Amino acid sequence: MSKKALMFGCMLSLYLILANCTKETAPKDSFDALRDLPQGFRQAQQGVTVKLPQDLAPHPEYRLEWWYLTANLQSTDGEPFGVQWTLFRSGLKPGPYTEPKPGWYNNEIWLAHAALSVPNDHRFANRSARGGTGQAGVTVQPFSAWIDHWQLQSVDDANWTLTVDGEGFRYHLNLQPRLPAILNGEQGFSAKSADGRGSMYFSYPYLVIDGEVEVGGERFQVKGKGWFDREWSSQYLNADQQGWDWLALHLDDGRHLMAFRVRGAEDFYSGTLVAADARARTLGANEFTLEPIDYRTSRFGRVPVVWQLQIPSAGLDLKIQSWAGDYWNPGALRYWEGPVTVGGTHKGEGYLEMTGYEK
Amino acid sequence: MGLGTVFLSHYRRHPGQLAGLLLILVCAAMLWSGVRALTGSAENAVARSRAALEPLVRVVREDGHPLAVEDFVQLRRVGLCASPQLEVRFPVSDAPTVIGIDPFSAGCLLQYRELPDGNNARTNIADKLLSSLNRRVLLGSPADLARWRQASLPGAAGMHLESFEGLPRGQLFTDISLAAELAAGGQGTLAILLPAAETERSPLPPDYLSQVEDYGVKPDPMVDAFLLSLNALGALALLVAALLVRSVYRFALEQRRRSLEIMVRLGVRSAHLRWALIVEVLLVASVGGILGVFLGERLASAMAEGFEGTLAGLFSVDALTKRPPTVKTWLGMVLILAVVVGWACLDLISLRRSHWGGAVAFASSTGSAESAGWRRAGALLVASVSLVVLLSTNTLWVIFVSTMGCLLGVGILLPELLSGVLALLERRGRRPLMEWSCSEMGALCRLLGLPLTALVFAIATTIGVQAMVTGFESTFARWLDQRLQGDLYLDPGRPIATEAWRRQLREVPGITAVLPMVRGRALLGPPDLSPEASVLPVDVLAVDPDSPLLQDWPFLASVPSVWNRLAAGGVLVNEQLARRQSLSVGDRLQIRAGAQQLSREVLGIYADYGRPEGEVMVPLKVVTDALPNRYTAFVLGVSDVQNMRWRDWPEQYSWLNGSRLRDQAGLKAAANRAFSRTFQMTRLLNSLTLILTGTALALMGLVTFRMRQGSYTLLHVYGVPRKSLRRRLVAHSMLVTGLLALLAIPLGIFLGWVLVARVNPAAFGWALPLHFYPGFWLQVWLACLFIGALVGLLVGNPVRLETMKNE
Repeated sequence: MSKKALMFGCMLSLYLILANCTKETAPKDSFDALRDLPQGFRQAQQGVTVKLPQDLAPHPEYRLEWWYLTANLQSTDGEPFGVQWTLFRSGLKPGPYTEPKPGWYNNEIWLAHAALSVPNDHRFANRSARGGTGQAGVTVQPFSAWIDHWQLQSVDDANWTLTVDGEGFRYHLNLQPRLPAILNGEQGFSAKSADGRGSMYFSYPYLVIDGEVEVGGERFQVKGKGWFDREWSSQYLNADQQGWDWLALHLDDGRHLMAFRVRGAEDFYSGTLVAADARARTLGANEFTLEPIDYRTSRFGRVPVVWQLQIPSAGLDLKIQSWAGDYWNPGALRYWEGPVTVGGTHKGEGYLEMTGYEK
Repeated sequence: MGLGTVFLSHYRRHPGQLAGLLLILVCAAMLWSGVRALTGSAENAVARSRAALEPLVRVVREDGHPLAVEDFVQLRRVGLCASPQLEVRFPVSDAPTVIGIDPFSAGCLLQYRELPDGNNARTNIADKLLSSLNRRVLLGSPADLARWRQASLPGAAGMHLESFEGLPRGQLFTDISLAAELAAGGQGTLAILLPAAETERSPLPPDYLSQVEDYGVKPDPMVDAFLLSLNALGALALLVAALLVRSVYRFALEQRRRSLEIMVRLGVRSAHLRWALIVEVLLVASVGGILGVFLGERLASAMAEGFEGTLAGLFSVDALTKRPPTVKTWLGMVLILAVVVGWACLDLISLRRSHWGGAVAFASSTGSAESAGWRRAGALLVASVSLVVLLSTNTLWVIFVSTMGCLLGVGILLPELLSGVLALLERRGRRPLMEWSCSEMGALCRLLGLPLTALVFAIATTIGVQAMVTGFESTFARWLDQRLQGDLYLDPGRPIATEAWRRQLREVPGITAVLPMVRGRALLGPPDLSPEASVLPVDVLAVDPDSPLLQDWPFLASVPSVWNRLAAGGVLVNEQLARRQSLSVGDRLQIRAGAQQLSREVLGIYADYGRPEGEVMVPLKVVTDALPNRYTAFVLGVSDVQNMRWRDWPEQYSWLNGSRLRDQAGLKAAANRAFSRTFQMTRLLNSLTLILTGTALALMGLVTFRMRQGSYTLLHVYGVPRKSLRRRLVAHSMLVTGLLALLAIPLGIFLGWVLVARVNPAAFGWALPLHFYPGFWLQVWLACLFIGALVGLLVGNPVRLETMKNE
């Protein structure tokens, strides 16, 4: 998730701060936004605590944050679908913002990415908006995250809905968080490097989902599982770090797992294992191994699509395989966001996110 | 001594000749590339604005309240692709308007999504603003940015002014948040625009209405005609230059006859010599061409603003972008240079070895009597066929080509005709010296055939263009006098509620009459909205037919008591529209004004000089507030315009803040400025052509007279005094140019007629009466005499006894 967050942050910052980047922008430049700590913003660090549900709200004193949903769904005929919906906020100026709302301000921007994947087909749409108008935002009571008519909102304490209308696809999903939010890292501070940079990061690891997906004019009733992340920070990466690989998995024994690797001069590993009863355990670098074992040549370069994840203390030796196809989300900073199937000691499904591989 | 040195030695001895050749090439290439750079960028601007055309609607609140941020959000939240636009006007006159756009949603509108020149490597305005979000950037043309700096408005400090090509004149673009800040020092109006297709896809929320902002219909190809006219003038300059270069070069060869002959005798192979000459022509042409294209760019930059003003005023074409010479410009140049070089080379290749030094070589090029006959017949045929075509066509480019044909035919015939007249005089001459003079002038006409033809072109275009421009100015001034009946003209500077202002204006002491003039846009065409239906966008002018300020309005054709009948129903159309749609009084018109459909009878046709747009005039009560692009101005009658302090009104009455008052004289001056700019380029091209021709003629005259020195010297030997011969030489020169100018004047009048009666209707939609200006003809004639005298005087003493050595 943190990796995902990193990527999103990149995208957002890129759009915001490096908006003059062309399609040919070197990914390295785009990542600078995640490495710099601009003046005036707070930085996530050990000791900062997470409060719920308040921390579902925006954090204008931080530069980058996101609300991130991935879901593995099946139609009634068993056809698999992958859904991603993310809302990013990027501060141009450190908050809190005192202007009377709403108005035309230049304090923050919002960005949303929506994708719908089936094996060998990946559809993507995005939206952006300035903050301060009410065109995009997040409220906590009741929980609602929106940009234009795309919206993730709570109907009641146990039910959320997500409505997205992209070009050539749309979905309307009902989501039920079945496990409470878990804090990643140390009490919600998720380090991204050995020197302690990182972000505030919590997740709803298990959402039960049903609803309707429409693609290419055809409608499908679907149901499945989802993972929802919430992350904020102002500086994520070290100068030597080039990208990350992030996984969020649902295993058939009821456990849920998040693991990431940030690639740099020395790779940084972290993860969270969530038991079926919602007990969460942070995984340190010495507790698991995450290795690519096979690659695929894609539109934008060679990417690892088969991974081995071993957590001996949890009895897990997983082979994680991306669906067939190409799951790049286009834009100034491209990233791979695609569904995976899990084999090995346990079966399961989930999502794989990768950055820093594109040519 | 190498061949190159020998070749160079000629130009060392005659530097003027090289300079002349280069000057002609440079001028022609400069004119061509300058005109092409301007018309090319205008063509791009037109193509760009056409590419960005889409039917647009403007959202308004049903309760009539001004729009606010919340309205924009509400539209976005229902999924409509709407984009806000905050227009900020400042109370300082001449300060550009600031347009704040929201780069995040601007992509909904084709005009901001479309990349300039369709060039994906460049940034469009929304992307540019997005990348400068944290920099407080104002984008605009350099001229508008300069005006912004001059206005030094409060709150404008700390902004980054950046020049951005392709933006409309008088507007600076920025992020809407910055515009909102600036609105504190001016007047901000928020508009919310969305493509019409959006409202068809999903309806507007209740409480909102849509008004047509832009029909998204392609305008008339009028601007193409204007650009074609300019290109035609540029091409004429190139043609004249080609003629001049060829003739100057041939004369240079004539001078070099002896040195070439010596080289052949020294053993230089003929083929070798020919190649060397061809390389030389290529070199001269390339140097001249490259220099010219380079200078043409400077010329275009210098004229860009005036040209932009013209285009914006006449055709609403904004946003010219500077661009390097295009392939077309170079292609045009290369083509012309190839013709020049090829033509010159043809002479070189046709030279026989035995003729290198022979007088036959060049005598033959002036042609035998038989070939002269063919040439005359050919020229006559070209001129007559062109004339027939000219009289029977309405297509602009055909008009230009056929006019060129007429000019070419007559231009070739005129020196021949002059030569014939002189031959006749020679035969009738009783005094030997007069007979000699006539024969001498006849020879001049033959030898200087091409440059004289070029001079004929230059004289004719000067006279023709002057007839059009002056004719336009005087017609326009008379027309303006008739049409401007009020004393003052009030531009509120923003869209306003017409009736409320009318009432308020009536209460201002001293104002005796108030005539609102509401302008907007409409479509002519069938009521059905099918995209295939042929529609024509027109301007709408809505007035109060009962106003006393309209009673002297001039008409080209109308029914009796036209204003009374207009009040009862009907429509008036301008001349351009009547010509284009072949309308006459009594015809019916289908007009679509926003959502409103009108069917009305044409009651009158009025002249509407100076712009190409079609216009319909309807009674004020017919147009609604939803008339697209509705804008109201007022004509005011006052009790005493001289002594009233009307200039103070905007300070005196707060509701007049930001508006602009002008008296008739101010208006006329502004109108005249606009038109003098329109003709600036035409006049410039014209004078340059005349100067070019004069220079070339002077250069060649010098060479020609030196060639004729033998005959003058012979007469001197026979006893004619040197002074007398010198006087005669000057007289010959002046007589040739003077007589030619006399013969060229009718051609100029003809060209003037073509411009006012053929080109204007095709290019702009209105015709002008043809006026004669004998005073100007006299000036041109005197200029020609002056050129002749100059050439004669420059030659100096025609008697050179050493020329007798070979006799």
